[in-house]
Amino acid sequence: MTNHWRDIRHADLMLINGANPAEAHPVGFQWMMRAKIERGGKMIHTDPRFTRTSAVSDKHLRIRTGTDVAYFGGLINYVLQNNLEHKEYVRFATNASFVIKESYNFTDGMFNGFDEAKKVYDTTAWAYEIGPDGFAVQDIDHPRSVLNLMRAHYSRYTPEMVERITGIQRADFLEVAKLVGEMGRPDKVMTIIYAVGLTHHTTGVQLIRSGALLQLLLGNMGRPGGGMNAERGHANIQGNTDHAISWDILPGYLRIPAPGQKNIDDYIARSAAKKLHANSLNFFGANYRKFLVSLLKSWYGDAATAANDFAFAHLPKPASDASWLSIFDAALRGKMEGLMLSGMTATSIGPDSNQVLQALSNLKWLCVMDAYSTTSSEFWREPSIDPSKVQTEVILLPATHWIEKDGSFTNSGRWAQWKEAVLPPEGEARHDHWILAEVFDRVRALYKEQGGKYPEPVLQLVMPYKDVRRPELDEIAKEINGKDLITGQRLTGFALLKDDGTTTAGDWIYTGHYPESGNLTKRRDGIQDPAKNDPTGMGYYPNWAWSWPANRRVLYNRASADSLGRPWDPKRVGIQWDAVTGRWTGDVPDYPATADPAKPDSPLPFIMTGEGTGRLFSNGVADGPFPEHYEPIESPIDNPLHPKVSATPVAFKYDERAGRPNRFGTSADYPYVATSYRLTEHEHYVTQHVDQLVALQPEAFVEVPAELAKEKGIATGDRVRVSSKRGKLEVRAVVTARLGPLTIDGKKVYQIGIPIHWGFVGINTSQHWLANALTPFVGDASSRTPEFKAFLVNIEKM
Amino acid sequence: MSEVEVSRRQFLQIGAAGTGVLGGLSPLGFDLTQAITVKQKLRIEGATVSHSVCPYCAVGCALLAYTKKNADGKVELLQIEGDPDSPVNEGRLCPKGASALQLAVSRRRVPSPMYREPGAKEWKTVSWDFALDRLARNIKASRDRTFVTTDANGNLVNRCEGIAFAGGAAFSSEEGYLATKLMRSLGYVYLEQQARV
Amino acid sequence: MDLDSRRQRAWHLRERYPFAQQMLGVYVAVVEVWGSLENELPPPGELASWAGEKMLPGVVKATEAAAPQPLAVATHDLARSGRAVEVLAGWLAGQELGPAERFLARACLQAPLEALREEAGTACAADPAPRGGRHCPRCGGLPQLSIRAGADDPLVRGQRQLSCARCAHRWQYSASSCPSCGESTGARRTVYAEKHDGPVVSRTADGGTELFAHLSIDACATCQRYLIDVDSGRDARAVPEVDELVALPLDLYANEQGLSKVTPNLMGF
Repeated sequence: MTNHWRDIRHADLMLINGANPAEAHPVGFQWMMRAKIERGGKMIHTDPRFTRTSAVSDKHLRIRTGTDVAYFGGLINYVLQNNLEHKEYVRFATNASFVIKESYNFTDGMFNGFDEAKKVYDTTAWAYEIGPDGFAVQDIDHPRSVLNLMRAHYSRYTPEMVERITGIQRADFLEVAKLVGEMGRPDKVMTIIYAVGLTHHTTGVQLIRSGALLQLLLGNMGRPGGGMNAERGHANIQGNTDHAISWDILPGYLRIPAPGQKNIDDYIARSAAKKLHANSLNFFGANYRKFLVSLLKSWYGDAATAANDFAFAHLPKPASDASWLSIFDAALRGKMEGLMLSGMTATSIGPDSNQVLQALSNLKWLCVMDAYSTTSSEFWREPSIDPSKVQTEVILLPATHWIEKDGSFTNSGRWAQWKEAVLPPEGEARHDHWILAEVFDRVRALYKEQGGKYPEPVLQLVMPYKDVRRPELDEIAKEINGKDLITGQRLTGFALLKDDGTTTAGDWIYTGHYPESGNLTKRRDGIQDPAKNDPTGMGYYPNWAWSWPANRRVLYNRASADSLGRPWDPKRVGIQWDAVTGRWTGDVPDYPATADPAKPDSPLPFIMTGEGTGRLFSNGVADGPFPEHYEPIESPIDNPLHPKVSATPVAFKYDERAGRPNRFGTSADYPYVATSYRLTEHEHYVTQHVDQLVALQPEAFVEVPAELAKEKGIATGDRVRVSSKRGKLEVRAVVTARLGPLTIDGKKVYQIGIPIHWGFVGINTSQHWLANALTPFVGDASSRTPEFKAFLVNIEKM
Repeated sequence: MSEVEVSRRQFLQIGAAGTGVLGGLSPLGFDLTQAITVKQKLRIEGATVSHSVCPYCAVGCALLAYTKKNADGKVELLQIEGDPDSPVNEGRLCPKGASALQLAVSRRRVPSPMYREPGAKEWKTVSWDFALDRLARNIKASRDRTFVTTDANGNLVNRCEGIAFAGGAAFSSEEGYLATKLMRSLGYVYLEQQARV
Repeated sequence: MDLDSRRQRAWHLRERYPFAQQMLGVYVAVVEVWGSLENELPPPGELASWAGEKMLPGVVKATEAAAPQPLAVATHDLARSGRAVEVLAGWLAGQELGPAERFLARACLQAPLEALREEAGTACAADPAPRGGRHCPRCGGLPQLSIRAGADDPLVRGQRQLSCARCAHRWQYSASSCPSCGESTGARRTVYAEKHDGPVVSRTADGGTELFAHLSIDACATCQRYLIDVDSGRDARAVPEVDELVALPLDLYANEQGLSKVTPNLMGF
């Protein structure tokens, strides 16, 4: 979230796409209801299904799954065609006026820079015209200004085209577009709320970017009640992304180095943003080296010196993508020997479960650390598998649960909240961090004893804990915060980090959360005393827990005020310039605290980008500088915009690349669109072990549109077989009006709903079907987030 | 605390300290005999109130968890409720959060380290020492077999290609950081959690 | 100032908690005196002398009629000693008083202070105690009891209020911090309550047999203080000030544990 849960109550209009907060985030949903009830905010729910969120929305738009780029594109076009953008904001805070190089081109679904052999774009081909001063050329009236290119790009997204692609009828679309168009006024603000219904697509990144573009055009980024707000699905997915349990980053969103980067200079040149405007602060790019060196000092201590480039060589440099799908692809290719899973069941979670089961069988060894047995720890006795044929060695380690250990969780709104250890570990269970620390210590002992491949990082890693096999989370929190190695004092903020090896920080975005005065994530000054604890009245509650970065509650909040520092809407102040004290007041400013905005050289508002502005055009994504609608890999139609390039040309097709047989189906064999989703009563797969929740939702089912059910003679409670090219489910049908038919490009299209929560492990083991047996093994071109939400199936009554 | 406040406290305490009952009468003369009998029959238990955060979705609902220590030394979780001070949830919980107690305390927990040999049809119960030793040796062997120091283009890459680590959405942040630190130091490139799935 | 509900609740509780009959009787007698205040607004600047004239005679009479002999005698003597106004002024200034003096001061002053609302702060201007936080934001008094708000939804935990021992004003306070010293570490905070059979998943009344289902002891190991907590979510009809009086057995239990109440109530517990 750029904003945070409580902040949503400031919104005048809420676009909820690919999310069902009333059921999936019920307590967070109160803030949307409060916007509606307390300030008359309107709620638009755009989703394939009519859910409890739709039920309380002002309007539900039934959309074909995976087509939100066309919907947002249509809204962008509506705003631009009718001159409804927030013009002052667009000029001040976006790259609308930047001029793009002449080589930029988009024809028939293809951007320039495509490499036919590798099937990727050279993203550096999407670049600004650079002037003699070395900065990007700016001229908003130039035919190749970002704004004019954008206008041309989205002019194809007419209401008629939106209807052909998404199934949203023109009149309904225009009704919503009219509301959205009003949000470009300075005294109005809109929020976009989304969840995995947007991210879990081959076009996931662009789905979200298209929303962000709309928000920038309307001047809603950085404002209270505005922003792009992702509702994350797991308690600490945010914190553990921040700390980089992700192949492509190091803690604090520093990029993982790539092969060929011989030293830190090389790395910085390829990773850090370049300053593209004279008044761009380019804070992240300019300080990248400090953050990396402080990280390397935390990890390698005295072994990291200026002379050895702070042990940069120790950082692994991946050859290619190493995300979720790539792990199992490598296993299928016989390249993966071992897999360690903690609180995550590969078998259930990933797409194409049958292929994943094969991948697990190819491993030499598997270690599962979990409080409960999972479909991964038990994969070798999945009902269709003969255990004697599975040669994988499996270790199952009983891990403690969240309530048996302390430490912090970072919520969707980036608030890091400390929790206490409430219970002692159950039975023989051990904390995950103790298991990992002890295993590491044992591996280290083996390297000391026996030697081996490149042992230096293993031997030199600093483990500054009282007990190296049982570190305290409090000790680790202090390490994450970092300190000044000269004074020995913990630092109060990341501005104090240095690149000369005299500071440490395990994760720079958390520097300042644990200064010498104490752990700020423990703070509890909440709504028991609003007058004292929420001095601005805007709901920031600065002394409740701590939010990254720097306890800032709304990201990009400099853009909540105009160029002179006056809030766009005086009733909803993010930050504002106080000329008397010479400071920005309100939220913690996303800006230098004393920078006078009236000065001609004052920094541009988006301090983290090289441009100094928000990016309407960006080469940071793999599949296009502007979001474009592409069909899902499995689709009932050809793309009406460019039928010859129907799906994105840059989605990585693992099976094809590896020479495995095709596992994608066509609408001839699988005529129905399917989408998967979650239910209120379950969380992923772990709740199959919770009696009360299993009692509430005991059995796997699929939701079938009433008209289709009638065609097929299916009644609620009948057993049906739902199959894709990859697998099948045999479960009961729930016939529903919640999933109506759509007319897509003149064709009647049905969507079938697949709740995901069941498997062959849990209280009710007769429900052994894995929903992901149906889903395709393909992901987004940039992030490789798998396509769980749009695929083709057939359905038969059994 | 100011001296004034201390003295106020002391004097205000008198009444309460004075409930130390003399002959069944309170200092103001109330007859406490019946109340004492009632008190003696009461089954009172003390619950410690701890702060937690809900383990399910990422709204981040603050919880208050009530526990008590039994005579046998075992700590029992009595109740979980929303923390009414939280600016996030204001004391509210959803059905999952309200039943979080059942996720925490369950007879279905994995009882001890388990081991399944290649081709075996059943688990074997093993000791922690055995399990961690096996795991450490597997890591070392796979790392040594699949470690690439220099790639085909002559670049120094120092990566372990044959082991993947995935997990962590239920880790405390500090655990997640440690996992990253340790796995990267082993040279892992395949690192993943629930952010994508 | 809803005296009817307090009166009715006291009558109701007398039947349910026979051990507290005598105290509830004294309480009802004092409430009758408060009723005589009607709509008269006392002068906040001279409250002690005003109450000495308007309230004291009624309180003495009611106490003599309803209270056990030691309290009745002490009250009578105080009133005749000529020190009564001084005692009342002392209470408003936060001075140290003896148990009977405190009874007299509270019985005479609570109703006028309640009637004064915000002006209660003016009446207690001589008290140097801080305002806000663990003290009453209005008059600086200490909390008498803790109240948990009720909620229609069993999955909602209501906010906590503290009620002032002097002016009965209520203010919001952290649900999980000590009202006496501010301690918030979980391991230091204990709630003593009657044992409930089986785990409690929601706050729905589930037919438990406890005598004090809605009352508990909110205690702190750091300062060894406690307050009685009245949970309106468990008994929507509770009138906290009255219900706190019947928590007497819990008070006795707390004392056995070495705990002392942040402020003793009107009856000295």
